[in-house]
Amino acid sequence: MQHPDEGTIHAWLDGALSPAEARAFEDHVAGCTECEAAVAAARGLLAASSRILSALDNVPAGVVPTSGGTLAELVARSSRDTNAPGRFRATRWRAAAALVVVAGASWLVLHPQPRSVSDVTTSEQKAVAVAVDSVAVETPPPQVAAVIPQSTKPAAPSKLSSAPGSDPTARRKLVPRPTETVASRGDSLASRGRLGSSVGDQFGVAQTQAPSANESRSAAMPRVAAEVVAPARDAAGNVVTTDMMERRAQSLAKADMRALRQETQSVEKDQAAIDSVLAADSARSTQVQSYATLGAASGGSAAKMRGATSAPSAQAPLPPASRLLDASSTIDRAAGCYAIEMTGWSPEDQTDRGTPSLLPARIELQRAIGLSGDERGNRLARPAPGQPGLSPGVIGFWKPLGGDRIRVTFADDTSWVALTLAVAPESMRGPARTYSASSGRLRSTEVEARRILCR
Amino acid sequence: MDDDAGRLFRTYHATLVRYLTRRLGDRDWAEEVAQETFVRALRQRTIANERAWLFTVANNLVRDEARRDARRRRHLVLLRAEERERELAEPEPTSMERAEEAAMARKAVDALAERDRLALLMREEGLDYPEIAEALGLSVGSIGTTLSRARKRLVEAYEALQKKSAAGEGHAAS
Repeated sequence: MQHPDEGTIHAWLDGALSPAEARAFEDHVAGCTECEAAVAAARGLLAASSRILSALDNVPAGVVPTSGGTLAELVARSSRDTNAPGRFRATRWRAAAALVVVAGASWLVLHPQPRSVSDVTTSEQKAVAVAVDSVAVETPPPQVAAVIPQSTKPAAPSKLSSAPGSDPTARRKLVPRPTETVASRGDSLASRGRLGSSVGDQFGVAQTQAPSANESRSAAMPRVAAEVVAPARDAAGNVVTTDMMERRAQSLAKADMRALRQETQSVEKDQAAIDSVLAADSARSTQVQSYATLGAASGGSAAKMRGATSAPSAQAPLPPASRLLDASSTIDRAAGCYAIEMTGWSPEDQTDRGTPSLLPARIELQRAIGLSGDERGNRLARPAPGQPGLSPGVIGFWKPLGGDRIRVTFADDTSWVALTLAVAPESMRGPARTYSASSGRLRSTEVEARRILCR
Repeated sequence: MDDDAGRLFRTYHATLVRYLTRRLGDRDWAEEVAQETFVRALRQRTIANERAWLFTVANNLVRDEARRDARRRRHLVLLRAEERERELAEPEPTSMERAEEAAMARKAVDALAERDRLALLMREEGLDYPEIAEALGLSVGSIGTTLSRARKRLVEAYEALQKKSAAGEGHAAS
């Protein structure tokens, strides 16, 4: 036998040789000092590369929400994501939606009479049960909320609503199952656990949907049903492109868009109501505590209502009362108009095109909450009255960061500028950073936002 | 089928996310790709070799997205980095060191040829030679050579970066 090459040595170390090959290899190496040294070196390489690769695991995560609790929502998201530059957590938004959902669940428990149509109750309970579950696993609420009206409107076909509302088994079919993944993982793996739950739920939903697609839904949605069930393969027999998903997403998204808008507006109203209550009430902490208690209690009821064995709503992501209050008062104190003054940046630094800067010279930090893209769930930041409006494709939003600071961001597809400001009555100061994808440059400077009248 | 889907998820989710995180350097992105992969698996009636199939689909999803949307992704990653900045409190020295180590490992891994990198990362997740060969469209016989080359280059690149970093520190101290 010739000296084994490096590939064979690595294959042997990896246990990839057949028994006969391995025996021949070992016999040779036993009598070959040179080969013994080569094996030792390869072993060292194997261990070292393993150690280097494990260093890659030191990556922070969990800063953007993982996607939602239903297959329909996931499919819709896959289309939206190609247009949205990013998504961020919106803790208060989620908290508000959680409150709305648990309040809705409570209302249903306490007032079981339908509002208009006799069979609406079952659908609503089902929808709320789904929504409560989804919120409990930290699904972005505006997207989850779209499920609710969809389920109550049999006329608007969708994958979820197409299950007959009068079917006594329908509720069970649609309730995402709590998965072992969620139960067995600790808080330190919250992010992964969340994902586990959502994908596990999707399996649950889709598995129960697949057979019924052939039975009851094939007439209403033949194309969608066929696509869901059909294996997705390319010429190599493995992979599909996103075209198909996008087509389906578009058809679903159109049907759901109106419902989504209504629900989003409704949630926004509730958010505003919560804000005003918090701002006006001097006994704020007591108030919020009672909301939290209500949330947990109602979540339990909702869980019983849908026959679940556990009460995942107890884990609903209501932020601590202190954080909610802090955020609220920060928003109250920071909202308004400001003149921006900065040193260290030329206008060209702020955008790679050298066109008008992303950051208006005078800005207004509005209380209004954005409804789409990265603005969704964040407060809107706009040019102050009298200034030219935002250029097409530019977004602006702001949010409290805790520690009485806010982050103001203006961005387009290829660049952004972000100000981190300490909230103060007259003048807010802090670092500003800007990045341009085409130049790849990230620059920092100090910025001062001086309060001006909004006029 | 339901049991199959749950089992598939429980068995491969963690390893797929780790593989993708190591490959992409972004766990959020990794989890999104993993999720998409499992959704596709869910639509598949039969999968002959589950692990190789999942890794192949994940590889292709990453490639498709990278091709279509490289610029936007870079933008997004940086926006996220901006977000992280506030989430990460002032790092302790140990985590600084770990971050440096991770950055060097990242550079060293990125310096590998695509095929070598993928083979190495999949092997680290326990895929056997036939599975790696299937996922990469290579012959089983070539995997040992691919891995030996990948390991050698990775270690060499990492050591070079370490030396460079040490030299930089020495220069700064003097």
